[in-house]
Amino acid sequence: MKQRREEAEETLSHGDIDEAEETLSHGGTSMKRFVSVLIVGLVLASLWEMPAWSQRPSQAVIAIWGLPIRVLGSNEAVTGYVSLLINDSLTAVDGAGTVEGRLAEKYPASPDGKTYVITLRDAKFQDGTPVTARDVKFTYGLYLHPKYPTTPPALLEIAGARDYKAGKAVSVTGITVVNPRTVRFILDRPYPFFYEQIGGQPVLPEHALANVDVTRLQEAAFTRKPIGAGPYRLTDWREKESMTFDAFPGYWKGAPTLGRVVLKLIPEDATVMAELRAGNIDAGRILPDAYSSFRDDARVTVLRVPGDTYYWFAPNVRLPIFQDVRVRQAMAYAINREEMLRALYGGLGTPAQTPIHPSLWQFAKTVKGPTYDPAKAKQLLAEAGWAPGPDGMLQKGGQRFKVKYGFLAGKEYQNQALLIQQYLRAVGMDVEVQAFERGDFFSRYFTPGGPIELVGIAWFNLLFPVQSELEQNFKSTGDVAQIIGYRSPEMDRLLDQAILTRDRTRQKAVYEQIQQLVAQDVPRILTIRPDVIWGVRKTVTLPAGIGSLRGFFGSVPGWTAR
Amino acid sequence: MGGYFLRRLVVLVPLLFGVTAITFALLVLAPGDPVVFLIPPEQRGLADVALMRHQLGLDRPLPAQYVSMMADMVTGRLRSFGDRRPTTRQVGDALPTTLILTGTSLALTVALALPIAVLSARRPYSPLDHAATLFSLLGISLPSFWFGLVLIFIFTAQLGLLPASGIRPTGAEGYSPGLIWRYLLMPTVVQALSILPVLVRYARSSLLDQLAQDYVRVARSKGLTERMVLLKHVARNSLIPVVTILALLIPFLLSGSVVVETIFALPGLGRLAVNAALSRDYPSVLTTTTLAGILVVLSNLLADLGYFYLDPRVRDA
Repeated sequence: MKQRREEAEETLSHGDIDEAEETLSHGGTSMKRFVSVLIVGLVLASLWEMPAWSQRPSQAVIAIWGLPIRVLGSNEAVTGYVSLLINDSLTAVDGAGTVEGRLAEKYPASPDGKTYVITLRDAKFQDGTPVTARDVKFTYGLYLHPKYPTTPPALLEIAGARDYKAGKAVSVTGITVVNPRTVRFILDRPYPFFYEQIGGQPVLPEHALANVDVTRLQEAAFTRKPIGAGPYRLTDWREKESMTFDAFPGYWKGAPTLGRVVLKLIPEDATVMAELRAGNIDAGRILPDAYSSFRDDARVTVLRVPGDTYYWFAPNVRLPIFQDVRVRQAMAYAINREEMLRALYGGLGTPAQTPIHPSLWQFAKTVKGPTYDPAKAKQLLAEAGWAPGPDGMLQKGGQRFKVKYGFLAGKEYQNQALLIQQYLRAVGMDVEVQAFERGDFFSRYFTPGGPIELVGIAWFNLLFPVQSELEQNFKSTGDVAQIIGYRSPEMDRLLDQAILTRDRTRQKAVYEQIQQLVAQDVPRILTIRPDVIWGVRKTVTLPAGIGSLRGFFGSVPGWTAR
Repeated sequence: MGGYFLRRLVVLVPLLFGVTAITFALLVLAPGDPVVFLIPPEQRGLADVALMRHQLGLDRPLPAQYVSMMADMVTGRLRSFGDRRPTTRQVGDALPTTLILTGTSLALTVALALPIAVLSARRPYSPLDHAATLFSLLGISLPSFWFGLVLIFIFTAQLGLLPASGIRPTGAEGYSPGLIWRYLLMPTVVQALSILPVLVRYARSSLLDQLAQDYVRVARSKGLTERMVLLKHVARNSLIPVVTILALLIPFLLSGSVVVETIFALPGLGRLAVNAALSRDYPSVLTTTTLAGILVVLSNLLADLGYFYLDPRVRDA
């Protein structure tokens, strides 16, 4: 049946071409015929495509703004979503940040928190071979290989890992294969984030990668045809076009309900929304402007969750002008976050109160960042010795409050920069804005020692566990903290304390203190967290409890499609 | 004749060398380390940048980088910085889409432009001619991205008649016409409309020039029908400048394909080239620029072939 349809389609298109040629040879006298054939063709084509569409097997086509360039060795958001489909890990954290055993059936910690004996389940890789303790040891050895450029830092907590990474040892002493189903991890010190940060790495098959040269890992066939222990096999990968995943029947949890997932690359948001309306895709991102019209669309379910990205701008704390915390606080009070959300995102979003994603247990609801209060901002500035000069702009000891705000070139950043400029000028700060092209921004500007005065950017949450995210951003040894020159002994102490605390309730209290400190000490001014809005055709049913974009992609195996 | 084309092809070699050398110089002069684009900003502090630079060969002197990239390109071993696939494979995946789209756009343009031009030229300054002029003005003023989105809004979002993204149904293979024509229709119309007005204006003025020639008066006085005069005699002679313009429009179409490929999510060369440039993927940029150079030279050669076919003076010279 399908075959015949395709043939018919082909005949018709040849007919069109003939018509077109005829038109040419008759000097345009049969324009009308040409157009009418075109229209008839369109109508016919749409008629026979429709039944084919509804006869699809259980599958969902998800429009995505970019496809990964690699499936191994990158923590890019999209790569992470793809990895959720292909791979599985020993342990994982669920949407709320709670630990669950995945490939690990039992995973007790020793009383001193340094030894973890992990019993594997009866799980299989997608080529049918069982997941063994050897595979686990091999995987961690690969991630810690001296030539592996993106080693997750938490893995260095494993005993002997630093020596191995530095090329001073032939293997990681802290990982032992006890028997084919049991593997033992020994850490250098008690580390309560073992399950999130160490256990959460994708487990890879030794037999497929043992002979691969790590320096040329990205060129290996495995990176195009990966074999994981996750719910889906990557069965087709078209460059700049699509990735197709088929349910893996041997998945330890049982085959996922959704038989096939296609990630289709569509760069333009307007195109995504049109395709969603026409039913040519099953799920796609919706822009805030179109939110209400999609909500009225009976064919589409609209999912709205707190965004995985939040926006912020930061002063270079090394500059004398920003060393006074009152100046930083004043900037935080000067920003009208509600108005930014209204003007730029149709009000769909929340002011960013803390740097932690609201879906996680570490997120402290009680912490409230500074809210819009220009009078308070002016008062703080006055206390810091800044008084308005003749032109209304602040001055102190003959020095004008004049700073440059650099941002990554792009519409969203620019819109925000212009609003922030207005807000800061309104309290007397003379702010100039400047856009930097991406390469320039990250190689020359947003670097330690770069010419930053104020810098605006957005950050993805949920790419890493919270602890490493916070360390990177706020600990004095962290990359971002060094770029903006932030160092706070109090912050360092709290972050260390979080690692040493093993009880969840007490840990939560420490994280609350950390978030409170970010709000008070203002190493960066958190602005807004726009919501992520996705439209899903009613033919697809999503499980409940999706709290983030990452959670949305993680929920794919549980989708059902009619 | 053969010698002429051979000479043109030989000239291509130093030309491409110059193109790649200048491209490479521009790339390395532009700020931005290619490695930056391989690490998400949130992950910067966690990656061994020096090791990544070494693995990409970026720690070597610039001339050495250039020479080895060129040597690898000639032997087909050059790999993209991004996905580490051979750039020839990247280009091989993207080229068919771009060539097909360029071909259909050119065909549609010619199919529409010549009849419109003939109708306009037959009765200059008639209402029909004015309408064609107005249409040309509109066409040339419509930005592709806007026109593309309008088509998508009408034919996909509202009527649900045509797919707005991709080159073929998900899961399908190859480029058979039956498979891809519905996907090509809107992009082709957008691309064609971006060059149609130019061609119509050139063809019209060229036709008018020819119509004023003595041989037209002779043909008419012989008693030939106006149709014969136009189609047999005038049209052929006035095609010569049109062919030149057509050849010049091919590079224009190729560069315009970036916009169309983005809006319609087509996996073509334009997007490959722009993404490569934006992410400082030196090997990919060098390969796509070289290919663009070859395509431009080839389209000029095609124009020469067109003269050869159309103009006996060139043929006999």
